[in-house]
Amino acid sequence: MKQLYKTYGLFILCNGPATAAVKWWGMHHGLDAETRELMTLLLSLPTLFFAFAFWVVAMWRNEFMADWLHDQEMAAQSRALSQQLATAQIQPHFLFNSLASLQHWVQQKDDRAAPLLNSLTSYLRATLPLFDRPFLSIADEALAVQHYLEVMQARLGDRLRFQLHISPEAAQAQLPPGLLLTLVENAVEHGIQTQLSGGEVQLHARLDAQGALQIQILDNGRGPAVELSFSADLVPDTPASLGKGLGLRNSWLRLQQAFGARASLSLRTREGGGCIASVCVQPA
Amino acid sequence: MSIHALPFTAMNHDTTALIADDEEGPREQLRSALKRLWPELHIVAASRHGVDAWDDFLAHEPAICFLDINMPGLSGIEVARRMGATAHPPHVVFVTAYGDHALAAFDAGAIDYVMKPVDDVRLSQAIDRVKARLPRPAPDLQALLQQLLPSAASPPKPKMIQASLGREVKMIAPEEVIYFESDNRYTRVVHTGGEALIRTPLKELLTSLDAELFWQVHRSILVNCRCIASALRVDENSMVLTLKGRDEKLPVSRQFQGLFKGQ
Repeated sequence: MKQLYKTYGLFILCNGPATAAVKWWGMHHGLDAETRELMTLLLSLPTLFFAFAFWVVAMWRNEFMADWLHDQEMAAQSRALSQQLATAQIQPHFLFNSLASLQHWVQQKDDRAAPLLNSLTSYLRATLPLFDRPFLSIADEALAVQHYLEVMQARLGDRLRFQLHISPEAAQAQLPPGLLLTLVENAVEHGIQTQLSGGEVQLHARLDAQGALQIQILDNGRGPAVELSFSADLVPDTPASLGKGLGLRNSWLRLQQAFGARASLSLRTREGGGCIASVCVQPA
Repeated sequence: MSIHALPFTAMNHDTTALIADDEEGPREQLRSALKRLWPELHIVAASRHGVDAWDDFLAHEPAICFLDINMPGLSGIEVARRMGATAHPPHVVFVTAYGDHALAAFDAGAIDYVMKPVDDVRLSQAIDRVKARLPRPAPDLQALLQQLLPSAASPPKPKMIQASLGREVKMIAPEEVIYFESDNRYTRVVHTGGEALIRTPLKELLTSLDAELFWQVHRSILVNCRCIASALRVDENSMVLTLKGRDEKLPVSRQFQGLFKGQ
């Protein structure tokens, strides 16, 4: 583009003197007034042509830039959104607490350092690309869940036990990414870490006889402060006092975006104490 | 030796501290960092959760408490608030991870804190600040801490107390209890209908009871305030409670004598 400006500028600069020179040359060589006018006209035609061409190019470039900027803006927006989701997911609190244990065990040359570092690395690797895609198979997300639980188990010791039961048919089912992780994190944070003696987290995923995807996340903590049930026609207000309100509400919104009325999500008290988070997706 | 040097040396050698974190890694990291940076500090307890932290504080009365915020049983904020209401509140340094909701308030108020993972530079700064504050009583943080407690914290649901008596399980409503007393690994429940032993330690029990009704008057005694007839000062250090319609007297430890000050 700069080249074009330069050429155009140079041309305009040269065009004036050139026209004057031609007029002067014509007068001294006895050309008649008509021929001199014609020559001047011929010489200024390229100027007009260049001006027009320049205008066309400039307009086209404007359009192009506007489109390009718009694309960039959209890309930035979508990046910001995944960034928000990702940072909401990998809480700095989790990261720094894990690093605190890691740092101590490295300094002390404790054997627990290497496995914790491995689990943390695998967790980050599994989690960071989570939000680039609209859907993730349960098998893929279960990997992130598994690594998360390994990290927490290294930190909490015998205060945390866990089991993952995913049937082969359910493993291929697709869910909005981060959903299971959010629910499992809630179970650990509210059901295990708040208990003096810890507890157990279980994740069950299966397809029922009708082909509906049934997922349950159980803990044996103190149970939910409020029982909640989300379905297409009923979105309860999640009380602010409920720490997990936001994560749960986001999970629900993403479920509904993906499956509409086919999805439901609930949080209930488990018989014998604890909490059951259930996700159900009816077949299409 | 100059006279002015005396109290300082004495203080340095006698300074006691408690650290509390429910995760072993950060707890031990803090302990070894403190040993390195403040070798004279005597760490009297490393508590595994908020309930232990409170109990260990009552047992040892350390001058400084390093408290993690998110702990089961009682949060670091709740422990600090309880400590602040005793006769000799300790100097509190919160140990917290990035992203904690209380951080902004800490920055604004007169609260000392260090971030996890603890690094030597920051911990040294915190140590210097605490050392400078030590000669004076700990600042009163009650109002600030109160704001940091979850606003809608639902009061604990009054649960029936189930006491095994041979083959029988006795159901006791909390409001029928006159006092709880720690008895080795058991807790003695003295209620309107008699006495029973339960296996839940007193320190765990106190987090599930209504603190307005059951007052802790001693490390090992929780008493139903409606059953107290009077508080009697015996001498400068000791105080006893008499109960309505009962002969036994309950001791009030020095830490809790502020509960009974008359109006």
